[in-house]
Amino acid sequence: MRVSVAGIGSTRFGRHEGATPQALAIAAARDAILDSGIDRGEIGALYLGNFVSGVLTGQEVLAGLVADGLNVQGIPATKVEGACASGGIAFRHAVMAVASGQVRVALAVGVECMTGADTTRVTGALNCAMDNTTDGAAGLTYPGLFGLVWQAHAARHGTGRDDVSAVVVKNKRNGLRNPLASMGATLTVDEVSAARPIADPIRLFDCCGISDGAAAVVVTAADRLSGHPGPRIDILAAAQSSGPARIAGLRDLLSFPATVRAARAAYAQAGLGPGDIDLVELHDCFSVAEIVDSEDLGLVPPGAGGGWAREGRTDIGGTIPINASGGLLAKGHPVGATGLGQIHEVVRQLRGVHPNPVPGAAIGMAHNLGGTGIACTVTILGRADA
Amino acid sequence: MHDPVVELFECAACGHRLSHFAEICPGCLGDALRPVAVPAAAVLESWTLIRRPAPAHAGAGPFAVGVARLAEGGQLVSGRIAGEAEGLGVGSAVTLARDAGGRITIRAAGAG
Ligand SMILES: [Zn+2]
Repeated sequence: MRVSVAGIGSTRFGRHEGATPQALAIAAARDAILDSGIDRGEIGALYLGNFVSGVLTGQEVLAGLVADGLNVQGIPATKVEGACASGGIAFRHAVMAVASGQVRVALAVGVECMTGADTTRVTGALNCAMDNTTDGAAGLTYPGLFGLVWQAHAARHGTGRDDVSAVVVKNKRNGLRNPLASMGATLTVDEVSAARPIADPIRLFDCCGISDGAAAVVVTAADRLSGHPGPRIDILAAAQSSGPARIAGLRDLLSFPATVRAARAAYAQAGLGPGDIDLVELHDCFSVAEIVDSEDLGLVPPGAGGGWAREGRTDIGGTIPINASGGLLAKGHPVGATGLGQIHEVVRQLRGVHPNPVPGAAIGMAHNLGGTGIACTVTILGRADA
Repeated sequence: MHDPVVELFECAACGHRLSHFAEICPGCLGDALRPVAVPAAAVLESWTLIRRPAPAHAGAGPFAVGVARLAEGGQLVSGRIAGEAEGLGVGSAVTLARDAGGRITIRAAGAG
């Protein structure tokens, strides 16, 4: 069965002082339902992606709270968790619920509230996504993980500070045009290189910011949308994978097997290849992650991610526009919301209403990576009229 | 003079080897993982300097964490870089050991 995006909603990603996760999630879901034009009574299932709301806010049962707040009680409301990939996982479950014929309409929503905690508490919460008997016990943090990835990429491919800074400059610039991104900025390569060191060679601007936010998507059977205005956006692939639980399970530090597997599955589902993708929103939790992800997704040749960024080939108008939204670097990373926020950005591009448009985009990809590569989703969306 | 060794875990049934202990062998799902001493020689594959530690390591930073590839078997392991990290870089010869808590440590080969 062909499944389509019926509606999207998102809060701004950034600081939402005093907001509860359920309030943000309900606001994003309300907007997605209104955008869909579908009566909420038709929603048959709700999937909510969240990572650490229990740890950081003391609030759990978010899926049930959101169902209650939307007055769609009675339907199955399920929270899913896969670290930073929680939102993408929620989306895939909503798609499967419709594709299986179990329900006609499903709602996926992702949310995280993080700015109420200080950086040390957030670092500790994020480390919940690590195997704390091995990598975590060694003292590794997420900036540290990507410091390791960077040094290995540099040793193998010569990727330097200026290559990685080009990613930061591009995404921060893209974010300036996106009202949902509150961390856009005009930065120079020199400013990025001189920022405070966090986990060598990772510096401050190489890290996505701590954020609050929520995003939601309503999905339904394609035939349910006949007569709706505007281009219909179909879900061409919704793939999910798991990967090694710790660094000791990796073949090397230059590739996350979960991304490679999810991408392979998504291309097979869609009957497409990397050359068919017009734009991608990928998981740039750290600057160098964009380089490795773009290679793992097959969008950039192995080892070339740094050079392509520096040469502008990943800008809008380049060979493959990456993170035209500003990505996690400019939007921030409200962990459970990120995967649905990426899908929200891709849908706006394909509808032709994005504030930072990729002209003529017909097929877009979203890539959401969790933990040390323990979970991943890759989604491919396409305009039905293309 | 003996070459240094480091303790890993090996399944007596299927030979699967892990750098961490597990109750159940992921190779065969048996419960026969046993400690095994292997040559501690490795090559440093990457390193980073943690300046903002997680709360579990608060007060310990900055400290270096590395990833090394065992000379025998080629497996990657992560661990705290112990002792003098000065002069260590990607490709450096290192020696693995375990600290009092059983955690893997990485130090420059030949260092005491
Ligand atoms: Zn075994």
